[in-house]
Amino acid sequence: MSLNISVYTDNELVKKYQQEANAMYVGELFKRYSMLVTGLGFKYLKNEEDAKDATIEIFEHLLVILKKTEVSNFKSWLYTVSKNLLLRKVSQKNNSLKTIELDTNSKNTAEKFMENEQETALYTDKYDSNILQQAISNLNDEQRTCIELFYYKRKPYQEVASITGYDLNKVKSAIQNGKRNLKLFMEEKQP
Amino acid sequence: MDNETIKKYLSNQLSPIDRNAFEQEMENDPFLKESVEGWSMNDEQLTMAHLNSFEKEIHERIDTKIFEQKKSKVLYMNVFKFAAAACVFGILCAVAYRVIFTNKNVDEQKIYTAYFKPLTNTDVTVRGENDTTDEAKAAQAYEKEDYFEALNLYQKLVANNPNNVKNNLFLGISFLATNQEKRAIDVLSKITQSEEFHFDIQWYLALSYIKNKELQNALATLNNLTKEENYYQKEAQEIIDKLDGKIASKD
Repeated sequence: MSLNISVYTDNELVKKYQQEANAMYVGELFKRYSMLVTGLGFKYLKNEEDAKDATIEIFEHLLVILKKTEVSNFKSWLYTVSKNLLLRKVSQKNNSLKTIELDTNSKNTAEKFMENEQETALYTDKYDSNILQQAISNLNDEQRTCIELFYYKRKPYQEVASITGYDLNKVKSAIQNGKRNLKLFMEEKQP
Repeated sequence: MDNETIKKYLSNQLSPIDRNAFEQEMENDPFLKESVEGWSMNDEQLTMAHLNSFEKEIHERIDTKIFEQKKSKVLYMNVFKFAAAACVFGILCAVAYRVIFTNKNVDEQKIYTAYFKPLTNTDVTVRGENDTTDEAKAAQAYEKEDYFEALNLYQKLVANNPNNVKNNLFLGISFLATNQEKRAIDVLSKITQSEEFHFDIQWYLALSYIKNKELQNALATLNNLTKEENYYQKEAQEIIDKLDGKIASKD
Protein backbone atom coordinates (compact mmCIF):
# COMPACT_ATOMS: atom_id res chain seq x y z
CA MET A 1 0.00 0.00 0.00
CA SER A 2 1.56 3.30 -1.05
CA LEU A 3 1.16 6.25 1.22
CA ASN A 4 0.56 9.67 -0.27
CA ILE A 5 2.23 11.86 2.31
CA SER A 6 2.12 14.97 0.14
CA VAL A 7 -1.40 15.61 1.40
CA TYR A 8 -0.16 16.19 4.94
CA THR A 9 0.34 19.70 6.24
CA ASP A 10 3.73 20.74 7.59
CA ASN A 11 2.61 20.31 11.18
CA GLU A 12 1.12 16.90 10.45
CA LEU A 13 4.39 15.74 8.92
CA VAL A 14 6.32 16.97 11.95
CA LYS A 15 3.98 15.09 14.26
CA LYS A 16 4.13 11.97 12.12
CA TYR A 17 7.92 12.05 12.22
CA GLN A 18 7.96 12.53 15.97
CA GLN A 19 5.58 9.59 16.39
CA GLU A 20 7.05 7.16 13.87
CA ALA A 21 10.66 8.35 13.43
CA ASN A 22 10.35 7.70 9.70
CA ALA A 23 12.71 9.97 7.75
CA MET A 24 10.41 10.06 4.74
CA TYR A 25 8.16 12.55 6.56
CA VAL A 26 11.03 14.99 7.05
CA GLY A 27 12.07 14.29 3.47
CA GLU A 28 8.68 15.36 2.17
CA LEU A 29 8.68 18.39 4.45
CA PHE A 30 12.17 19.48 3.55
CA LYS A 31 11.65 19.05 -0.18
CA ARG A 32 8.84 21.61 0.02
CA TYR A 33 11.39 24.20 1.10
CA SER A 34 14.49 22.87 -0.64
CA MET A 35 14.73 25.79 -3.09
CA LEU A 36 14.47 28.27 -0.25
CA VAL A 37 17.14 26.53 1.82
CA THR A 38 19.51 26.15 -1.13
CA GLY A 39 19.09 29.82 -2.03
CA LEU A 40 19.92 30.74 1.54
CA GLY A 41 22.98 28.53 1.28
CA PHE A 42 24.03 30.39 -1.88
CA LYS A 43 23.69 33.71 -0.13
CA TYR A 44 25.92 32.80 2.79
CA LEU A 45 28.39 30.38 1.24
CA LYS A 46 28.60 32.01 -2.19
CA ASN A 47 29.37 28.71 -3.85
CA GLU A 48 27.12 26.23 -5.65
CA GLU A 49 28.71 23.03 -4.30
CA ASP A 50 28.95 24.37 -0.75
CA ALA A 51 25.31 25.45 -0.94
CA LYS A 52 24.22 21.96 -2.05
CA ASP A 53 26.27 20.26 0.67
CA ALA A 54 24.94 22.65 3.29
CA THR A 55 21.38 21.93 2.19
CA ILE A 56 21.88 18.21 2.76
CA GLU A 57 23.62 18.93 6.05
CA ILE A 58 20.64 20.98 7.19
CA PHE A 59 18.34 18.11 6.23
CA GLU A 60 20.42 15.68 8.30
CA HIS A 61 20.40 18.13 11.17
CA LEU A 62 16.60 18.28 10.99
CA LEU A 63 16.37 14.50 11.21
CA VAL A 64 18.04 14.72 14.59
CA ILE A 65 16.55 17.81 16.18
CA LEU A 66 13.00 17.47 14.87
CA LYS A 67 12.54 14.36 16.97
CA LYS A 68 12.43 16.35 20.15
CA THR A 69 11.63 19.92 19.11
CA GLU A 70 8.18 21.38 19.37
CA VAL A 71 7.55 23.30 16.18
CA SER A 72 4.50 25.49 15.64
CA ASN A 73 5.55 27.20 12.39
CA PHE A 74 7.85 24.90 10.46
CA LYS A 75 8.86 27.40 7.77
CA SER A 76 9.99 30.10 10.19
CA TRP A 77 11.68 27.49 12.37
CA LEU A 78 13.48 26.06 9.34
CA TYR A 79 14.66 29.58 8.44
CA THR A 80 16.16 30.07 11.91
CA VAL A 81 17.77 26.63 12.00
CA SER A 82 19.16 26.92 8.46
CA LYS A 83 20.48 30.44 8.93
CA ASN A 84 22.19 29.53 12.18
CA LEU A 85 23.85 26.51 10.65
CA LEU A 86 24.99 28.52 7.64
CA LEU A 87 26.30 31.37 9.80
CA ARG A 88 28.19 28.85 11.86
CA LYS A 89 29.75 27.47 8.70
CA VAL A 90 30.68 30.96 7.57
CA SER A 91 32.17 31.66 11.01
CA GLN A 92 34.20 28.49 10.85
CA LYS A 93 35.34 29.47 7.40
CA ASN A 94 36.29 32.95 8.48
CA ASN A 95 37.65 31.71 11.77
CA SER A 96 35.45 34.10 13.65
CA LEU A 97 32.54 33.62 15.96
CA LYS A 98 29.74 35.38 14.17
CA THR A 99 26.59 33.51 15.14
CA ILE A 100 23.12 34.54 16.01
CA GLU A 101 21.30 33.17 18.96
CA LEU A 102 19.46 29.98 18.15
CA ASP A 103 15.88 30.21 19.18
CA THR A 104 14.65 26.64 19.21
CA ASN A 105 11.03 27.64 19.57
CA SER A 106 11.37 30.01 16.64
CA LYS A 107 9.33 32.53 18.56
CA ASN A 108 11.37 35.52 17.47
CA THR A 109 11.28 34.51 13.84
CA ALA A 110 7.61 33.71 14.02
CA GLU A 111 7.00 37.14 15.54
CA LYS A 112 8.98 38.75 12.72
CA PHE A 113 6.78 36.96 10.23
CA MET A 114 3.73 38.24 12.01
CA GLU A 115 5.08 41.78 12.03
CA ASN A 116 5.62 41.51 8.32
CA GLU A 117 2.05 40.43 7.87
CA GLN A 118 0.99 43.58 9.70
CA GLU A 119 3.17 45.62 7.37
CA THR A 120 1.39 44.08 4.43
CA ALA A 121 -1.85 45.21 5.90
CA LEU A 122 -0.62 48.79 5.83
CA TYR A 123 -0.75 48.77 2.06
CA THR A 124 -4.15 47.28 1.52
CA ASP A 125 -7.19 49.39 0.63
CA LYS A 126 -8.68 48.56 3.98
CA TYR A 127 -6.00 50.56 5.73
CA ASP A 128 -5.73 53.25 3.11
CA SER A 129 -6.54 55.97 5.53
CA ASN A 130 -5.71 59.65 5.47
CA ILE A 131 -2.86 59.01 7.82
CA LEU A 132 -1.36 56.52 5.42
CA GLN A 133 -1.75 59.03 2.60
CA GLN A 134 -0.03 61.62 4.76
CA ALA A 135 2.73 59.14 5.53
CA ILE A 136 3.27 58.43 1.84
CA SER A 137 3.31 62.07 0.87
CA ASN A 138 5.82 62.60 3.65
CA LEU A 139 8.32 60.23 1.98
CA ASN A 140 11.05 61.54 -0.28
CA ASP A 141 10.37 61.38 -4.02
CA GLU A 142 12.47 58.31 -4.61
CA GLN A 143 10.81 56.24 -1.88
CA ARG A 144 7.30 57.52 -2.63
CA THR A 145 7.56 56.67 -6.32
CA CYS A 146 8.92 53.21 -5.69
CA ILE A 147 6.34 52.47 -2.98
CA GLU A 148 3.46 53.61 -5.15
CA LEU A 149 4.64 51.68 -8.18
CA PHE A 150 5.39 48.56 -6.19
CA TYR A 151 2.35 48.44 -3.87
CA TYR A 152 -0.36 50.38 -5.69
CA LYS A 153 0.48 49.81 -9.34
CA ARG A 154 1.76 46.30 -8.49
CA LYS A 155 4.85 46.59 -10.66
CA PRO A 156 7.71 44.15 -10.18
CA TYR A 157 11.13 45.49 -9.12
CA GLN A 158 12.49 45.35 -12.62
CA GLU A 159 9.62 47.33 -14.04
CA VAL A 160 9.87 49.89 -11.24
CA ALA A 161 13.52 50.20 -12.14
CA SER A 162 12.68 50.67 -15.85
CA ILE A 163 9.99 53.26 -15.16
CA THR A 164 12.04 55.27 -12.67
CA GLY A 165 15.42 54.77 -14.26
CA TYR A 166 16.86 53.67 -10.90
CA ASP A 167 19.00 50.58 -10.78
CA LEU A 168 17.45 47.43 -9.27
CA ASN A 169 19.26 47.67 -5.94
CA LYS A 170 18.22 51.25 -5.53
CA VAL A 171 14.57 50.27 -6.11
CA LYS A 172 14.75 47.52 -3.49
CA SER A 173 16.47 49.80 -1.05
CA ALA A 174 13.94 52.61 -1.65
CA ILE A 175 11.04 50.22 -1.04
CA GLN A 176 12.61 48.89 2.13
CA ASN A 177 13.50 52.32 3.53
CA GLY A 178 10.14 53.73 2.45
CA LYS A 179 8.35 50.95 4.30
CA ARG A 180 10.34 51.66 7.44
CA ASN A 181 9.59 55.39 7.27
CA LEU A 182 5.89 54.70 6.73
CA LYS A 183 5.84 52.49 9.76
CA LEU A 184 7.55 55.11 11.90
CA PHE A 185 5.16 57.79 10.72
CA MET A 186 2.10 55.60 11.36
CA GLU A 187 3.30 54.68 14.84
CA GLU A 188 3.84 58.33 15.62
CA LYS A 189 0.38 59.37 14.45
CA GLN A 190 -1.49 56.26 15.61
CA PRO A 191 0.24 55.14 18.82
CA MET B 1 5.89 29.93 -1.54
CA ASP B 2 6.32 26.63 -3.36
CA ASN B 3 9.38 25.50 -5.28
CA GLU B 4 7.65 25.80 -8.68
CA THR B 5 6.78 29.48 -8.19
CA ILE B 6 10.27 30.20 -6.94
CA LYS B 7 11.78 28.54 -10.01
CA LYS B 8 9.41 30.45 -12.31
CA TYR B 9 10.35 33.71 -10.65
CA LEU B 10 14.05 32.99 -10.84
CA SER B 11 13.83 31.95 -14.48
CA ASN B 12 11.74 34.98 -15.29
CA GLN B 13 8.62 33.06 -16.25
CA LEU B 14 6.06 34.91 -14.16
CA SER B 15 3.72 37.56 -15.53
CA PRO B 16 4.38 41.11 -14.29
CA ILE B 17 1.40 40.89 -11.93
CA ASP B 18 2.53 37.52 -10.50
CA ARG B 19 6.06 38.81 -10.30
CA ASN B 20 4.91 41.76 -8.25
CA ALA B 21 2.86 39.45 -6.00
CA PHE B 22 5.96 37.31 -5.51
CA GLU B 23 8.08 40.36 -4.70
CA GLN B 24 5.49 41.71 -2.29
CA GLU B 25 5.56 38.32 -0.60
CA MET B 26 9.33 38.60 -0.54
CA GLU B 27 9.12 41.97 1.22
CA ASN B 28 7.21 40.25 4.00
CA ASP B 29 9.09 36.98 4.10
CA PRO B 30 12.77 37.27 5.10
CA PHE B 31 13.38 33.61 4.29
CA LEU B 32 12.15 34.05 0.72
CA LYS B 33 13.92 37.36 0.34
CA GLU B 34 17.30 36.09 1.49
CA SER B 35 16.91 32.95 -0.58
CA VAL B 36 16.15 34.89 -3.77
CA GLU B 37 19.10 37.14 -3.00
CA GLY B 38 21.22 34.02 -2.82
CA TRP B 39 19.97 32.61 -6.10
CA SER B 40 20.43 36.01 -7.76
CA MET B 41 24.12 35.93 -6.85
CA ASN B 42 24.55 33.30 -9.53
CA ASP B 43 26.57 34.78 -12.38
CA GLU B 44 24.59 33.08 -15.11
CA GLN B 45 20.98 33.75 -15.97
CA LEU B 46 18.99 31.05 -14.23
CA THR B 47 16.96 28.89 -16.57
CA MET B 48 14.14 26.56 -15.64
CA ALA B 49 16.20 23.59 -16.89
CA HIS B 50 19.12 24.54 -14.67
CA LEU B 51 16.86 25.06 -11.67
CA ASN B 52 15.05 21.78 -12.30
CA SER B 53 18.28 19.82 -12.47
CA PHE B 54 19.47 21.60 -9.34
CA GLU B 55 16.28 20.72 -7.50
CA LYS B 56 16.37 17.15 -8.80
CA GLU B 57 19.91 16.66 -7.54
CA ILE B 58 19.03 17.98 -4.08
CA HIS B 59 15.92 15.77 -3.89
CA GLU B 60 17.85 12.72 -5.00
CA ARG B 61 20.46 13.34 -2.33
CA ILE B 62 17.69 13.68 0.25
CA ASP B 63 16.16 10.40 -0.93
CA THR B 64 19.55 8.74 -0.62
CA LYS B 65 19.84 9.97 2.95
CA ILE B 66 16.37 8.67 3.74
CA PHE B 67 17.25 5.30 2.23
CA GLU B 68 20.52 5.18 4.18
CA GLN B 69 18.69 5.96 7.38
CA LYS B 70 16.13 3.26 6.74
CA LYS B 71 18.90 0.82 5.94
CA SER B 72 20.82 1.65 9.09
CA LYS B 73 17.59 1.37 11.05
CA VAL B 74 16.94 -2.07 9.57
CA LEU B 75 20.56 -3.01 10.25
CA TYR B 76 20.22 -1.73 13.79
CA MET B 77 17.01 -3.73 14.20
CA ASN B 78 18.71 -6.80 12.77
CA VAL B 79 21.68 -6.36 15.08
CA PHE B 80 19.27 -5.87 17.94
CA LYS B 81 17.31 -8.99 16.98
CA PHE B 82 20.56 -10.94 16.58
CA ALA B 83 21.77 -9.70 19.96
CA ALA B 84 18.46 -10.65 21.55
CA ALA B 85 18.61 -14.08 19.95
CA ALA B 86 22.21 -14.47 21.11
CA CYS B 87 21.18 -13.53 24.64
CA VAL B 88 18.36 -16.06 24.63
CA PHE B 89 20.71 -18.69 23.22
CA GLY B 90 23.31 -17.81 25.86
CA ILE B 91 20.78 -18.09 28.63
CA LEU B 92 19.58 -21.45 27.28
CA CYS B 93 23.18 -22.65 27.10
CA ALA B 94 23.81 -21.53 30.66
CA VAL B 95 20.66 -23.26 31.85
CA ALA B 96 21.56 -26.39 29.91
CA TYR B 97 25.08 -26.29 31.34
CA ARG B 98 23.73 -26.06 34.83
CA VAL B 99 21.24 -28.84 34.22
CA ILE B 100 23.82 -31.11 32.63
CA PHE B 101 26.97 -30.30 34.54
CA THR B 102 25.99 -28.61 37.73
CA ASN B 103 22.64 -30.12 38.40
CA LYS B 104 22.12 -29.78 42.13
CA ASN B 105 20.57 -33.27 42.38
CA VAL B 106 23.82 -34.74 41.12
CA ASP B 107 25.94 -32.69 43.51
CA GLU B 108 23.82 -33.36 46.54
CA GLN B 109 23.60 -37.02 45.73
CA LYS B 110 27.35 -37.09 45.20
CA ILE B 111 28.01 -35.49 48.55
CA TYR B 112 25.59 -37.83 50.26
CA THR B 113 27.09 -40.91 48.62
CA ALA B 114 30.62 -39.78 49.39
CA TYR B 115 29.95 -39.24 53.08
CA PHE B 116 27.17 -41.66 54.06
CA LYS B 117 28.44 -44.64 55.91
CA PRO B 118 26.06 -46.43 58.31
CA LEU B 119 26.96 -46.08 61.93
CA THR B 120 28.30 -49.32 63.38
CA ASN B 121 25.80 -50.85 65.71
CA THR B 122 27.86 -52.13 68.65
CA ASP B 123 24.89 -54.00 70.06
CA VAL B 124 25.72 -57.01 67.93
CA THR B 125 29.19 -57.25 69.42
CA VAL B 126 28.01 -56.52 72.91
CA ARG B 127 24.94 -58.76 72.86
CA GLY B 128 26.29 -61.60 70.74
CA GLU B 129 24.51 -63.31 67.90
CA ASN B 130 22.52 -65.60 70.19
CA ASP B 131 20.58 -62.76 71.71
CA THR B 132 17.03 -63.09 70.40
CA THR B 133 15.53 -59.92 71.80
CA ASP B 134 13.91 -57.56 69.35
CA GLU B 135 16.66 -55.05 69.95
CA ALA B 136 19.31 -57.64 69.14
CA LYS B 137 17.43 -58.81 66.04
CA ALA B 138 17.14 -55.23 64.84
CA ALA B 139 20.85 -54.65 65.41
CA GLN B 140 21.71 -57.85 63.57
CA ALA B 141 19.55 -56.97 60.59
CA TYR B 142 21.13 -53.53 60.59
CA GLU B 143 24.65 -54.88 60.64
CA LYS B 144 23.80 -57.32 57.86
CA GLU B 145 22.74 -54.25 55.92
CA ASP B 146 19.21 -55.59 55.75
CA TYR B 147 17.91 -52.11 56.41
CA PHE B 148 14.28 -52.84 55.49
CA GLU B 149 14.18 -55.56 58.12
CA ALA B 150 16.09 -53.31 60.52
CA LEU B 151 13.69 -50.38 60.13
CA ASN B 152 10.75 -52.73 60.54
CA LEU B 153 12.13 -53.95 63.86
CA TYR B 154 13.29 -50.52 65.03
CA GLN B 155 9.88 -49.05 64.25
CA LYS B 156 8.31 -51.57 66.65
CA LEU B 157 10.93 -50.82 69.29
CA VAL B 158 10.40 -47.07 68.96
CA ALA B 159 6.64 -47.53 69.07
CA ASN B 160 7.06 -49.36 72.35
CA ASN B 161 9.60 -46.91 73.75
CA PRO B 162 9.61 -43.59 71.89
CA ASN B 163 12.22 -42.04 74.16
CA ASN B 164 14.92 -44.58 73.42
CA VAL B 165 17.47 -42.42 71.63
CA LYS B 166 19.59 -45.27 70.29
CA ASN B 167 16.66 -47.07 68.67
CA ASN B 168 15.45 -43.78 67.16
CA LEU B 169 18.92 -43.12 65.81
CA PHE B 170 19.22 -46.50 64.10
CA LEU B 171 15.66 -46.23 62.84
CA GLY B 172 16.61 -42.88 61.29
CA ILE B 173 19.74 -44.28 59.71
CA SER B 174 17.77 -47.27 58.38
CA PHE B 175 15.30 -44.91 56.78
CA LEU B 176 18.17 -42.99 55.24
CA ALA B 177 19.81 -46.16 53.97
CA THR B 178 16.56 -47.15 52.28
CA ASN B 179 16.22 -43.77 50.58
CA GLN B 180 13.45 -42.56 52.86
CA GLU B 181 15.20 -39.34 53.81
CA LYS B 182 12.05 -37.45 54.78
CA ARG B 183 11.13 -40.10 57.32
CA ALA B 184 14.74 -40.09 58.52
CA ILE B 185 14.49 -36.35 59.11
CA ASP B 186 11.24 -36.79 61.03
CA VAL B 187 12.81 -39.34 63.35
CA LEU B 188 16.24 -37.75 63.83
CA SER B 189 15.05 -34.17 64.26
CA LYS B 190 13.05 -35.28 67.33
CA ILE B 191 16.18 -36.41 69.21
CA THR B 192 18.64 -33.63 68.41
CA GLN B 193 18.61 -32.37 71.99
CA SER B 194 19.85 -35.70 73.29
CA GLU B 195 23.31 -35.79 74.78
CA GLU B 196 23.54 -39.49 74.05
CA PHE B 197 24.71 -40.05 70.45
CA HIS B 198 24.56 -36.26 70.11
CA PHE B 199 27.09 -35.88 67.28
CA ASP B 200 25.89 -39.04 65.47
CA ILE B 201 22.34 -37.70 65.44
CA GLN B 202 23.55 -34.33 64.07
CA TRP B 203 25.64 -36.02 61.42
CA TYR B 204 22.96 -38.34 60.07
CA LEU B 205 20.37 -35.61 60.25
CA ALA B 206 22.67 -33.37 58.18
CA LEU B 207 23.11 -36.14 55.62
CA SER B 208 19.33 -36.63 55.53
CA TYR B 209 18.89 -32.93 54.84
CA ILE B 210 21.47 -33.09 52.02
CA LYS B 211 19.76 -36.09 50.46
CA ASN B 212 16.45 -34.25 50.77
CA LYS B 213 18.03 -31.11 49.18
CA GLU B 214 17.39 -28.97 52.25
CA LEU B 215 20.76 -27.26 51.99
CA GLN B 216 20.21 -24.45 54.49
CA ASN B 217 19.10 -26.92 57.16
CA ALA B 218 22.03 -29.16 56.29
CA LEU B 219 24.45 -26.23 56.67
CA ALA B 220 22.99 -25.20 60.01
CA THR B 221 23.26 -28.74 61.33
CA LEU B 222 26.78 -29.18 59.99
CA ASN B 223 27.83 -25.87 61.53
CA ASN B 224 26.83 -27.22 64.93
CA LEU B 225 29.14 -30.16 64.32
CA THR B 226 32.11 -27.93 63.50
CA LYS B 227 31.82 -25.93 66.72
CA GLU B 228 32.94 -28.73 69.03
CA GLU B 229 35.59 -31.36 68.68
CA ASN B 230 34.03 -34.62 67.51
CA TYR B 231 34.46 -37.47 65.08
CA TYR B 232 32.55 -35.72 62.29
CA GLN B 233 34.06 -32.22 62.67
CA LYS B 234 36.48 -32.37 59.74
CA GLU B 235 34.06 -33.98 57.32
CA ALA B 236 31.32 -31.57 58.34
CA GLN B 237 33.61 -28.67 57.42
CA GLU B 238 34.43 -30.28 54.07
CA ILE B 239 30.76 -30.58 53.21
CA ILE B 240 30.11 -27.00 54.37
CA ASP B 241 32.81 -25.75 51.98
CA LYS B 242 31.24 -27.68 49.12
CA LEU B 243 27.71 -26.54 49.91
CA ASP B 244 28.80 -22.90 50.38
CA GLY B 245 30.31 -22.90 46.91
CA LYS B 246 27.17 -24.42 45.51
CA ILE B 247 24.89 -21.93 47.24
CA ALA B 248 27.10 -18.99 46.17
CA SER B 249 27.04 -20.09 42.52
CA LYS B 250 23.28 -20.57 42.79
CA ASP B 251 22.89 -16.94 44.03
